Amino acid sequence: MNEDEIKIIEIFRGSKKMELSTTEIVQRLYPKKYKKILREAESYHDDKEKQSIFKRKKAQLHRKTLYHINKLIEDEILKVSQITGKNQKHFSLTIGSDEDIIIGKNNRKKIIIAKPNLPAMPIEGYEQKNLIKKFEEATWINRTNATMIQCKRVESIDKLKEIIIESFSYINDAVGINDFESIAEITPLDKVKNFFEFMEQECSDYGKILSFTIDFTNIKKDSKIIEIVKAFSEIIPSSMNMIFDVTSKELQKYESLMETVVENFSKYKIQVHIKNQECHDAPYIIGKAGPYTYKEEEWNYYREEYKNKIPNIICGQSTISVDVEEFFNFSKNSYQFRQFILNIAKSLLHANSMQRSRSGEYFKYFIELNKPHTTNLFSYSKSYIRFWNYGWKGKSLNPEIILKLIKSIKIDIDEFCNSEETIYRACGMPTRFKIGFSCAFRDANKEEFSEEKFKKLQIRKIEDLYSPEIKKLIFEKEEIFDMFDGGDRLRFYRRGEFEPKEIIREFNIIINTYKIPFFCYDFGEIRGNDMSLVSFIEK
Amino acid sequence: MIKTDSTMKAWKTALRYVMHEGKDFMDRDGRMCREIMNLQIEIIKPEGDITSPIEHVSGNKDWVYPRLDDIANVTLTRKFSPGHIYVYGQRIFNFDGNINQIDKFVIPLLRKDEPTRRATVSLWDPKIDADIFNKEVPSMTSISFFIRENKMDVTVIIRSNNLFFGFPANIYQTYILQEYVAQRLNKELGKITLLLLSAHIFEDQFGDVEEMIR
Repeated sequence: MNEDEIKIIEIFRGSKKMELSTTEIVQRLYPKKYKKILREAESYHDDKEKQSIFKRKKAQLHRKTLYHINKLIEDEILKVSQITGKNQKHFSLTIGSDEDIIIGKNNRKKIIIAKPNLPAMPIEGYEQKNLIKKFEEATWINRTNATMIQCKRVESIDKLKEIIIESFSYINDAVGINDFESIAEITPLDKVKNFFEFMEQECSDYGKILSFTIDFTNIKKDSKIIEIVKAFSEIIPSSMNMIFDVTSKELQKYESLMETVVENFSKYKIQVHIKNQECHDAPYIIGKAGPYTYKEEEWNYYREEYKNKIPNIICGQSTISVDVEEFFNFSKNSYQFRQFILNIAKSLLHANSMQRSRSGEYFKYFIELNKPHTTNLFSYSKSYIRFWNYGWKGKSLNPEIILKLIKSIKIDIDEFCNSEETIYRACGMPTRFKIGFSCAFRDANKEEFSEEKFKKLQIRKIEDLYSPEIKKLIFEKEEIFDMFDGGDRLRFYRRGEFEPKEIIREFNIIINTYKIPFFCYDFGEIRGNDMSLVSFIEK
Repeated sequence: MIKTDSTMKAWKTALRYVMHEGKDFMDRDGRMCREIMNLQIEIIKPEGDITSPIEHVSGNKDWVYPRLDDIANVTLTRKFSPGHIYVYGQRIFNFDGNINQIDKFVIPLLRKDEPTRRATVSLWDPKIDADIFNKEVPSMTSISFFIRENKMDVTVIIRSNNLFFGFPANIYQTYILQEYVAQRLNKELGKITLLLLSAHIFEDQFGDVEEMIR
């Protein structure tokens, strides 16, 4: 199936309307091209010759779209639902509103699955006010947010590629690739390069994120990993990220590897993600919605009990993000905020319950992949409540009060989850139900949520890490990491000139001085060029 | 033994009995429980108000109780659900992946031999459940069906019953099965007897229970 055809299916999935006209599909399929034609046609509205060129261009886009639509009609995925004036055709999916389509192996097979009708949830009023957002609402129940593939259970990079592509039909955010070094080290470099190029394109087509983790404690051939890091950075990925899972000992041991990482990633303005293994052993995944991770004790249990035998471990199920700042623009009442979060938890319980009861149908591939450990599908996963503009580094909310409030709400939510597990167990439906708190990323919510109100944490030199302002912020962040059990990320904007060795020293300081499990260095452009640290913080 | 004619009355009486006569003990997770061992409850006409306990426990806003159709579905499903650790329906209708204990055994047996005492369904699978590290095992362990006086009577053994949260769902699940078998044998619904090997109430729910039985 062609990528435009996959996009057309996604357009229908994401649309609140059941039926779309050719024009509506064209506008959504080629938004930039279509807008450009309209803009140009408007600016030359007196020029008849140019007008006919624009009409021709528009007709070309329509024809191209119709070609793909017809292919989807042939495959019995779309149907013509009505024809209106001027022979304008309208199309709809061939499936009912309670069904969904999965494009199976090799993009060929169409599998229709039942999509649940969601009951009324006590959060719909907040959704209408844009105070909350369900991540990927169209596939909120029948897909899971993020999963992790254990490379140690995958025999080759070709098999890994196959698993990732197949997984895209079952997740709506990110796939984590854990211990990637174990497969990369045994694969010829050219093949790894091709794999990166192929996956970047696939991720971009399917709108997914791939999150590779390289565990420094498992590295056997650092020279090979150096080449892999170079190959990864040279494609300047936008839908893939790489996490370096380190301890301070390994940072020193593999200094030349880390130098290559810093040199190449900074050159191509790619974020360097560092996981401090001494602080947090369980893997991290970076998705569009935000970070994901597992609970430390559960991860340890998985490793001891299953010795990495389960190849696919679901991490995040459904996500609801909350615009905290916007909530407090409507209400200053902390009791209401507590009730609001509890209502979100109740909605996630409904989602969890539906997802589980139909998991055999929704996640067939994952079940097959994990055989014989089929009952462990959701054993380590959780639903997510993500917070946006929640006060840290912000100026409009009192961070101390808000963070204290969120912390105490977390206790209530954990109690709620425990009670629900007790109830479901008592009813003969033993179910795991956990809710993780985490931060929300801007890109997943930029249309609905308020502008970001927090300042960027900028450093220009190693000494900045010792400045009182930065230290205070990092100490605050340590507490937030404790509260955000679903994962968090501290992002440093690194400016100024530097040698890779200096950056590695900074990594060492962060790892050895602070309890920060996960951070990233961002070498990209930031606003306010050459602002000094103090003036930036004071802004 | 508690013997009443309605489900709600049976539940309230059992809750009161455990609250007043039960012994306190600490469970494996360090939670305080009040418990009565081997409590027998006989309900003569359960169908009259079979969903009342669920309606009562669902009315509280502090928690979310499973929906009626979900409770019924897990009882009647034949499918293995990877989202649940075990499902009653699968144990009853598709035990070990191929034994339908109701349609292939209980119903044909009762059809052939009405007074039989062999029409028993087992939910306990020693291959899975007899594992000292497996904490998630079925509470309902066996269900027996009897035809007496042309009525379908059911007796259930529940090894561990959370009387406040579990009873409402468990009695409804038993009723669903009673109705399923009775319809196929064209019998009237009879009584339901529960033998709760450990009937207990967690300390967290003492307040809710007191309020209810007051």
